Amino acid sequence: MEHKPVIRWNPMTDSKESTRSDSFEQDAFWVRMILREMDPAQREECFRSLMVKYWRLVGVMVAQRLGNDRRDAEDVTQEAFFRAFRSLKQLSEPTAFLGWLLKIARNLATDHLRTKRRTVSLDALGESSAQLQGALQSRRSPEFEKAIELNEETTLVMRALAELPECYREVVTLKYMQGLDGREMARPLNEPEGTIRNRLFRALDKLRRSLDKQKACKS
Amino acid sequence: MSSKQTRPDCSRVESFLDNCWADGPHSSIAGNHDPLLNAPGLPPGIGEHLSSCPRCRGIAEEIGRVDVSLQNSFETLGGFMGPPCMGSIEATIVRLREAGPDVTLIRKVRRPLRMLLWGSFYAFSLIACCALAITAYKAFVAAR
Repeated sequence: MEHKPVIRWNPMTDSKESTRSDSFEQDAFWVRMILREMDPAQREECFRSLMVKYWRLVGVMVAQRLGNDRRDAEDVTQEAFFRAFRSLKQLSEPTAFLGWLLKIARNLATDHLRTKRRTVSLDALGESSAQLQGALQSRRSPEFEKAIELNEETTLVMRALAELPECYREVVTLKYMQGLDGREMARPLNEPEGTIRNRLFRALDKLRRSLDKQKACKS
Repeated sequence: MSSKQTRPDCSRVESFLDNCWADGPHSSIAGNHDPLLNAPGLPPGIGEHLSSCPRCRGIAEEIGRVDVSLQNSFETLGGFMGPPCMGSIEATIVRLREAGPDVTLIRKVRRPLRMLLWGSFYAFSLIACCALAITAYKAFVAAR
């Protein structure tokens, strides 16, 4: 199988290691500037910088959780940034801003999903639970289907990714969206390096198994 | 190669490949195993083992394929989400401005301040009423 060279949209994936660790120092700098309660214009500039930097990453994480519904993902992402900034004083380690933001986004996405499920079940009281389950399982916005042309391999990988437990999906997303390795992820996620590396290994193992199973089912 | 010799080698190579995937930039093992064989600093024996063991070569190729597919998937997802929407960013900043530290401070002090003002008003009114009553009483007594 031939693999085409891939154009990376995220310059972070190509940057040097030092630049990546500087990136968390930069986050910490912005967080400290915000907390220092200086000039409101400067503080807003720091908010803006952090949002621009992590908007897409948080959006993708939330979209994965919400079944790739873009509008919902944007709403939840916006709310996650708002809540993170509002309670920034509670963040004990400024370099761990990213992990903290992702945790808030994850909780919000879970709440959103729960609310949505409740709404669906009330709206469709007449439908059988099997139909409902099916509707929820296959919930994927038509916008998403239209926006991307999925080739077979990508479809399989996305399905395998969706089946991954949250903690594994998170490290894989950070690896591919931010270009971080196990050691670098330990800092923003505020977890031991060994734990992160274990998650990466298990994620890879699960992905391989899941892809094997899907391919076997197809053939 | 006997199974006694291959087993430890295979497990070492497997863990090397896993580490490569976890640590490296994600194209280091993508596609095929050839970059691995020519990679500088490759641990001794890994390259030879990969070229002689079809099983490990298969694993390397599989990890490479998964790696490339993951790259494509995340690029697709990143493209789907699109660049940050400036409207949403500005809306969040406006909400933050409304919930800013000065506004929070004002909200926090407003209630006690209001209570203090009303309390003073009532106290002064009471004192004034008392003074008026005393004056009126004294005037009434003097008139009698």
